[in-house]
Amino acid sequence: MAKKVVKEIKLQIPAGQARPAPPVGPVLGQAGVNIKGFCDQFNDRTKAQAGEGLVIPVVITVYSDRSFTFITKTPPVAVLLKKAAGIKSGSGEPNRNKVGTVTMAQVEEIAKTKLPDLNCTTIDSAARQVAGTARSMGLNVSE
Amino acid sequence: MTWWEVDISPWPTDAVELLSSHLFTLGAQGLQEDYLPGEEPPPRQPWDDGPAAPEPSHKRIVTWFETPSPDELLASLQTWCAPQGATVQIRPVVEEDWTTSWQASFPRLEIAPGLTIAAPWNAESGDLIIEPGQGFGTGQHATTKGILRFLLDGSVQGETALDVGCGSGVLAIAAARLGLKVSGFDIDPEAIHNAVHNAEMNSIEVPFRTATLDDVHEPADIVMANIYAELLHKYADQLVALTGRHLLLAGILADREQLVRKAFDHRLELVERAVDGEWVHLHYRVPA
Repeated sequence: MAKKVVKEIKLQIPAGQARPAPPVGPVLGQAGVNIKGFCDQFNDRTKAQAGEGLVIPVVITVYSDRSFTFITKTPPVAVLLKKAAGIKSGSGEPNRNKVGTVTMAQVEEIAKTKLPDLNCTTIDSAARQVAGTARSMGLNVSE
Repeated sequence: MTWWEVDISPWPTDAVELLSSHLFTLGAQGLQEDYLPGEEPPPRQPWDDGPAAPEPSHKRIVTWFETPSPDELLASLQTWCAPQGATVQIRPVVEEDWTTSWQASFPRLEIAPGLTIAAPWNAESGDLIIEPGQGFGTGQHATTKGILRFLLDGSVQGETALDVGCGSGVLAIAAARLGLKVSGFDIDPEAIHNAVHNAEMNSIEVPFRTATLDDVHEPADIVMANIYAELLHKYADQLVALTGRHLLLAGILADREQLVRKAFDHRLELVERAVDGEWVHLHYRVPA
């Protein structure tokens, strides 16, 4: 079909928990997108990650007749790092107050997961990005 | 409990994941990554080639919390966000039934005498029912209406029809209601899911399948293709080969019409050209 894009909406929603409340209700409602249709399909597509409590970035493309498509992305690096380090939140003062440690192996594992969504082509450069995020959250990166 | 909408901007784009992680730890129910006013690039179209526009350095982040009192949350966010130079604003969300409001924005739509497209919640007897979803062709668009009008004006004759890039299935279902033997296909499996659902709601059987033009070889009297100009041009050979009598084309932006005309004018006879806003629709016939 002659799909002309009118808007792209980027949301982050906990896996399996989209419902017709904020943010999905007001944001998609304003864009004219089928709220229930999106919630059902998003929850179905992310049900495998719902038990892990992961947040899923999703990009919703809205067409000129208000039909839509969406793609889900891998969970944010910071979320995966917190899970790997077993911490609840990052540090408010990452340089002075370290809140945990991740190993280089864990960083590389996250880099592999995130590679499709990061702005880089090799595991090495993805791992450097992930390690940078880890340090900015107040995590030590051990060899 | 009250919903609060928190607006954090400008926030560095390369630190969005960090902020997101912090917000969800504090109990955020979701987040939108939006552009600062005036910075949203034009949306990328399916026919655009070349690299995507680079992301701006800063974004507007909107997030939502459900809490009785936001004072503590606001203070903590202001402290956390201050080093990045971002401002935090908070306002209560006026709750409404967003689903009902959305449904009300899809009125029944009369395309031509005898053909009205409606959604499941407002359909009247005899309407063609389309559930707005992941298949393009809710009926609310010039390109869909363009082909439907060709189909209904009496100049298109035949017994079989093929819907190329069927989206929601709206064209195929309308053709089936006229008594044609129809099939439809699309490259997008989600669209096929929507098309099958729509056919069921109209109590009509249409074989819809996920396929590309390269997979389809059985010709039909009437071929309907509401896809965009670049694809019509690319697949001109296949479309002409599939067309038994009539080829109905839509999805052509006026400034790309010549691309399509160059591909078809010398092989088929142009019967009618219709214009609706920025869109052009073409009805070709196989010469006698």
